[in-house]
Amino acid sequence: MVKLNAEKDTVTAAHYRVKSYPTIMVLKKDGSEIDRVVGYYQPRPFMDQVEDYLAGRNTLASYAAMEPDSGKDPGYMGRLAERYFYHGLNDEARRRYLKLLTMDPQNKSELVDDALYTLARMSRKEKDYAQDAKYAQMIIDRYPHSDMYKSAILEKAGALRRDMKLAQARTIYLDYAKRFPTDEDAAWAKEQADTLSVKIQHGEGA
Amino acid sequence: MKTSALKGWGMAGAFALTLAIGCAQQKHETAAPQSIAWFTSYDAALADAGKTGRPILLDFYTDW
Repeated sequence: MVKLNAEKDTVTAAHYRVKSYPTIMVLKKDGSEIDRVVGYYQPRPFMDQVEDYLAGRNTLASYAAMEPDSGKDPGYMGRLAERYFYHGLNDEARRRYLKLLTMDPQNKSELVDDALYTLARMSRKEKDYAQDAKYAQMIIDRYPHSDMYKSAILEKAGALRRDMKLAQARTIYLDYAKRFPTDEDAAWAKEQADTLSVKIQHGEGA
Repeated sequence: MKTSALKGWGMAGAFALTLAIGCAQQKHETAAPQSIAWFTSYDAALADAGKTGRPILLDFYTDW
C-alpha cells in the first residue's frame, strides 16, 4: 500500500494519468492498473469497488464492453464518459459526453450539466479557452437551475481571462459578486475583478 | 470533513489488503489491522509487491 503526494510525485501521477484527487489505484503486483476509485466514498462502497476490481469485476474494460447494448441509456453513457475521464482518456471521454448531450437535451439523466462542465475543464486543460467558454455558456443558457450554474459563470470568466478578454472577464466577476453577495466565492470574484481592473489600466488584454 | 473521510479510507484500505492477502472464505472473520504501514515510495512498494505477489493499493492525495 502506497501513499503518494500527487503534487510532489508528479512523474508517477503523470504515468497513471491521474487528473483529480483523491485517486486510489488498484494495481497488479507488476504495477499495471486494474482500475481506480476517484473521489471520496464511505468505507463500504469504497470496499465494494476495490473488491470488485480485485475480482476483475466492473472494471472500465468490462463496463465499456456493455456499450453496444447499453449505449442508448443516457445514465450509462454519462458514467462511461466519466470513467474514461477519470482514467485520463480525454478523447474517449469527450466522445461519450458529446453523445450524452445529443441523447438527453432535457437533462433527464441529470448528468448533462456535469458533462458540460467536464467538457469545459478538458478544453481549459488543452488551452482551448474559446471552447471552454462555449461549454460554460451552454450550462448558463440551458440549465440555470443546475447546481453547476454558478461554477459555470466562474468557468466562463476564467476562460475569457485566459483568452486575454480581460474586460469581459471583469464584467462577469463583478456581476457575480453583485448577484450572489452571500456566496462563498463572492469576495474572491470581486478580487479577480479588481486585479483585472489594474491589468486593464496597464493596457493588458482586450 | 476531508480528514475524517481520509481516515475512513485508510481503514477501508487496510481492510482491502487484508482481503487481498487473506483466504476468501475467511474474509469476514479477519480483523482489520489497527494501523497501516504505508509505503511512501512507489518503487519500494513495487519491489515489495514483486516479492510478496500482492496487489498494490496506490493512494494519490494532495495537501490542499
